[in-house]
Amino acid sequence: MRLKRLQLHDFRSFPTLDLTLNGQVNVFVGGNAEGKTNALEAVYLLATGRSHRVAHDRELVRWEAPAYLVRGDFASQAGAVQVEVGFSTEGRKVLRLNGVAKRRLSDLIGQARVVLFAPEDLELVKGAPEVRRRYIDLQLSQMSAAYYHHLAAYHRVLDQRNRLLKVGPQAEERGLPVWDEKLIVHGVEVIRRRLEAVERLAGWASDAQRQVSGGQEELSVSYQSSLGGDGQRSSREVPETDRDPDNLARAFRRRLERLRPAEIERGMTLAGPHRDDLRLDINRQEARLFSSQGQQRTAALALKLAEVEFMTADGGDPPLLLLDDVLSELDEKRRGLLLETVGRVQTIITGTDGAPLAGRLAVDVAFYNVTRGTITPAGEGRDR
Amino acid sequence: MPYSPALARLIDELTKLPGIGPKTAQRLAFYLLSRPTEDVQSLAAAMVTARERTIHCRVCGNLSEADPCSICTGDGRDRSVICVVEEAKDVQALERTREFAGLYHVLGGAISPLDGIGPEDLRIKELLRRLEGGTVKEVIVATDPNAEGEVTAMYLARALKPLNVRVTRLARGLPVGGDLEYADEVTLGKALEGRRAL
Repeated sequence: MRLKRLQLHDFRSFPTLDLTLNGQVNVFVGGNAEGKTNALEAVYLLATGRSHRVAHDRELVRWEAPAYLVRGDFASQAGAVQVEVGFSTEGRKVLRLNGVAKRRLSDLIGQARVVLFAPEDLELVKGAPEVRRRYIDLQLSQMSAAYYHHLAAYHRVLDQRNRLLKVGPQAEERGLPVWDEKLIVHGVEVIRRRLEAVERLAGWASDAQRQVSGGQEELSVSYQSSLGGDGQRSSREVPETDRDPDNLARAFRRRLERLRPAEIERGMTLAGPHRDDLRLDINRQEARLFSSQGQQRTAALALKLAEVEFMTADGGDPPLLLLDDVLSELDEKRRGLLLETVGRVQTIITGTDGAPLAGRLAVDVAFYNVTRGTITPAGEGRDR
Repeated sequence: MPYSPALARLIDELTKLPGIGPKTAQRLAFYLLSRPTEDVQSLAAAMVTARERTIHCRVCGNLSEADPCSICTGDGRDRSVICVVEEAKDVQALERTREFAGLYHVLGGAISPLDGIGPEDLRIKELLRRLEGGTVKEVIVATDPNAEGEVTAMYLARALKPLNVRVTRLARGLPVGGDLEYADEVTLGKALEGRRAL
């Protein structure tokens, strides 16, 4: 999949922008606060329908403008695809696919696919479990509309169920058992797909870690489910035999039964995919707690590279890789491995200078200058 | 210059209506002022009359001027089937199909803790009472296919279980006249799940 043309209207710092992307690798060079990340954010928005930086569309509208619109023209295996995402400050979100208005985000998500690697992703290893869940959820949502549907439905049911638990013991007769069933139905679909994904991601991630560390570091990635165990820290790995949907549903139901008094006391749902985590070990020690910062950064990079592989391997369109200011954050060895991947899928890179790339890429590279709301080609060619 | 008190009050009242913000309210108010007095009186009278005459049918909960409503008392209706819906407007939608000749039961919403609506706030007890006689053989649950509608359907299925009546749910799937290739994965998946022998 390739992004051919990107148009922005009143998006962030851009009054208007009409940019043709020429290269397999496109490098946006500019100083801080000139709008490089805003442009990447727009591409991310086309793939996922939302920003990776802010929760509200309102914040994406240029100062004092009534609305923003982002339009992307892609060339995919299936032919030309045009995606439009917009928002007016009156509160109306606009989603269009090939010029046809779509009501639901699920009709749009995954039409364009991206893998974003930003400095905050270096927190993937030591950050909160939520960060790792988002890592899994974003790739699966782009790859499967069914996953996105179940995830969104799960969270809707979760909100309802949490509210119901807050009424106390009467929750039982006010419909709690049926909310349990609904939570289980969607939760099992989410967990099942996450388990499959993690198994595949683990292989690629551990290859990457081995490569950067010269075979010194063995990374293992596993899914930690909140459904099993009895103790306070009730996470555990899910054995192969428990992956059957019926077994998962049984385990989920048992867990909810056991947690019932605690859930009513605390007024919240204490088990389910929203409490699960990815466990990362380096050389058999939990990376979050025992690994050096260098090892953790390598693991974060390895997970991101695995994401590119996973999205490429499922037979769909290879994703666009968006590298937001991360090259300068990585040392020579790690940068080298990342740039190997860069040549294989269309990539947009932002940075304050193009120097880290000099002489490093053997594919067609286009450089662009970003200054206060404009992006202009800065000359093209093989390297520079 | 501020609006006259009468105009300001009109705009305020219009703003209370669903889906109407201050700008729309203002436009509607100015439109009303531009019309002949008789037209506006006729509109006001229609609103008051509709509000005064329309009641909830004590049997099915549907909106009606008669109590019980014309569907509940109708001659040609099949009294062995009750279709359960969330709102009175859903009855209108089903009636337009002309495919259903049974009776209705309007719940008055769906279970939604976030909106403070529990099973006891819906007309479920009334439904159970209607089933006591034993004439009803089937209950078709036609609540919306979202989380709240699904949970309401599941709750009803459990509540009706001991009564030995057949409980069915509306099928979900492809829209008529739609193209298979344009159907989203989720809808297509549901359609596959609910497939039938030819």
